[in-house]
Amino acid sequence: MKISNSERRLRQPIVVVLGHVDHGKTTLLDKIRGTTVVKKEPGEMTQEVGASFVPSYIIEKLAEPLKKVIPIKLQIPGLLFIDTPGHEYFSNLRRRGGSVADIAILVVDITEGLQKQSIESIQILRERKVPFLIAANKIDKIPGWKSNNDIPFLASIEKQRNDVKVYLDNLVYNLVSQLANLGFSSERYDRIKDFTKTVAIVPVSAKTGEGVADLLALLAGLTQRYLETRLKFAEGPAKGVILEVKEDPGLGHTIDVIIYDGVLKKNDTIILGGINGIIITKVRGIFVPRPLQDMKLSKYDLTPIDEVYAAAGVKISAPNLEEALAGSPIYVVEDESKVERYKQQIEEEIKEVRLYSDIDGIILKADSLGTLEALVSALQREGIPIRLADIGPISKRDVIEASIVAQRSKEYGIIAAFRVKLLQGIDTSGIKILYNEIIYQLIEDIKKHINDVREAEKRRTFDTLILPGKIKILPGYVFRRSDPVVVGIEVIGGIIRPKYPLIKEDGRRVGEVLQIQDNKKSLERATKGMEVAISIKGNIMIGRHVNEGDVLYTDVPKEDLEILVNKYPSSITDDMREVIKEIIRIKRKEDPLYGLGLQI
Amino acid sequence: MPKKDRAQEAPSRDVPRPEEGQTICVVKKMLGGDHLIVLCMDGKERLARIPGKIRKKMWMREGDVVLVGIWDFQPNRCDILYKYGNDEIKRLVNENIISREVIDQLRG
Repeated sequence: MKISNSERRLRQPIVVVLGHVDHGKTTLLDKIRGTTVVKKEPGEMTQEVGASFVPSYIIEKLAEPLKKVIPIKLQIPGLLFIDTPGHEYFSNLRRRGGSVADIAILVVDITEGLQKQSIESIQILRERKVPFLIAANKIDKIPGWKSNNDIPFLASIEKQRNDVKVYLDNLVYNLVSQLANLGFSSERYDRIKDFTKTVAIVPVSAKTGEGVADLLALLAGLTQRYLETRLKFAEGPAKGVILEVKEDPGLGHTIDVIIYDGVLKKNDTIILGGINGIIITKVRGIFVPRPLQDMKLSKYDLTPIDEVYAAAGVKISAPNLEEALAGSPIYVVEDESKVERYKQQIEEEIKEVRLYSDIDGIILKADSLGTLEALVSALQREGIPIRLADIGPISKRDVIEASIVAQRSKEYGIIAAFRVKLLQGIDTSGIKILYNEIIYQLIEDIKKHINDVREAEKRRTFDTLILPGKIKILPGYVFRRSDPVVVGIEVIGGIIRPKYPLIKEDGRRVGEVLQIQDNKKSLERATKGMEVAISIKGNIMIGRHVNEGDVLYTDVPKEDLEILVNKYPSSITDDMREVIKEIIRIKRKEDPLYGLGLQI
Repeated sequence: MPKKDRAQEAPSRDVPRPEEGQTICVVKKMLGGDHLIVLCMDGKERLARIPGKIRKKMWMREGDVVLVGIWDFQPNRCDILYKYGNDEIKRLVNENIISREVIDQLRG
């Protein structure tokens, strides 16, 4: 990480490796690191906090055989690779209106195509406006592929049989069409004319090393040609982003930081976002972990250095870092007078993500600013309202907020927790807390929960409601005059079901429907136009209380009618609407408030 | 003890109309202690309270048409905001905000 040569004006681009599980992100990086480790001289290749630096001369050496095809002269000092265990980690690499990452490699298993996580990664990349190229990994799995270890793809493809080439092309075009669905045009990298408009697909094999050279050469070439202005090295105070907050034995709380601009020195005053407000502190030490092979003993193997130049991953130790916020920006303050300005800047930036509004929505808790931001935007895409989004463990306040929401709309009365735990001693009865370690899984869970609750509620209330119905006793179809009355009826409008109470046109109670039968088969319901036989329980007798040809209505309780009209307006049919109006007219005589204020 | 300052805001010509969270009701029963039961146009029966601002300034009787503000945290109770006079009720009927039949029905 020592770029003492100050004449270099470009910093190394930050390259993020993303991709679906088991598509070979880490294998690919290992291959790049592995090959470089073999050829490196000690101390030149640094393995840092989730970030590995690949110096330019190694890239040049690797891309040597490609010199004829892609002539490049490297101006950048190398590439800083950041391995992401998932895109959650990547989302922490945030910076106002974009990402710290300059370019991304999306690793895709060529035989499987784009998977769910890959698509999600692309969405995050698009949101953060990060250019990317695709490493179509595992070409060695193509049937008939003859592996040639560690040679560029262009050389390797020449040696393959014709049918294998066609097979590979088919797979690549599979990817192209999948990307087209997402709105990106793409092409195999050696067929691209305009790299600014087309996403490059580089077929590689992390296992055999084929294509790795192409990938590196392309990365280096693209970044220094198209991102030159972005990579201009600034000498000023450092700007960075916090990846992780950790407790290290012997050091106390430390933060892992990616610095993307400027210079960070020991004893610099830094300003960063904390859980309970802004933290201003002084850098006590800057550490760079030793190369890969020693990482296991990282406790003893942090190399302290005095200053570090931009595009680096370092560990910073400083007082008062217990409450530092992962994903928060971090700035070096060059003099006291500017503290306020930086403070405001960070506050504003954090406020954009942490939100609270007095609406019925879910409660969201995450472990870092980046993940919270990703969750919030994903939920907003799904149209799920959020009442509270914050960082830190689930507190009593969150539970109370959720229970308030649950009273009004049950489906949103949940707490979605991403990699955070519940504080101890909090009563969470009645509140559902969803835990998940994967963003999209958590969002799926939330969606599923909301749908489940809605469905259950609808089924439960709708089935218990007494719906409006109007029936006519058909003359000549009286089968039994009382105890119970069995008559043939026609449903004039609405719906009747067993257990519905019935009233006459003057509002007097008749009895309750016992059973509905049609051709000796009992029915669950009878709708408009059906002619069925029903039995009615109650102290009535045909000819005395009720006559043949009488019209009867269902006795809809006031509350049921209200629920029906307000919550399920879509299930009201035209004939039912007429019946509702008639029932309201009948019931008003008894209860002047019946059906008042309803929009029918 | 000095008498309470009766100087109130100038009586406006406008008839107050129900806004968000307000509704028009008919007084059903006086309970005493500044509380009464009202029947509201949204089909609910509520326990209403006469706030100190109106107390002893507006007199309620059974059958009066009033404007109430519903408590947002306890929707089965409300505060009386205004009592409509007969001519004001006529205006509300003319403007189709309430219907004469419903009022008569609520009065019983």
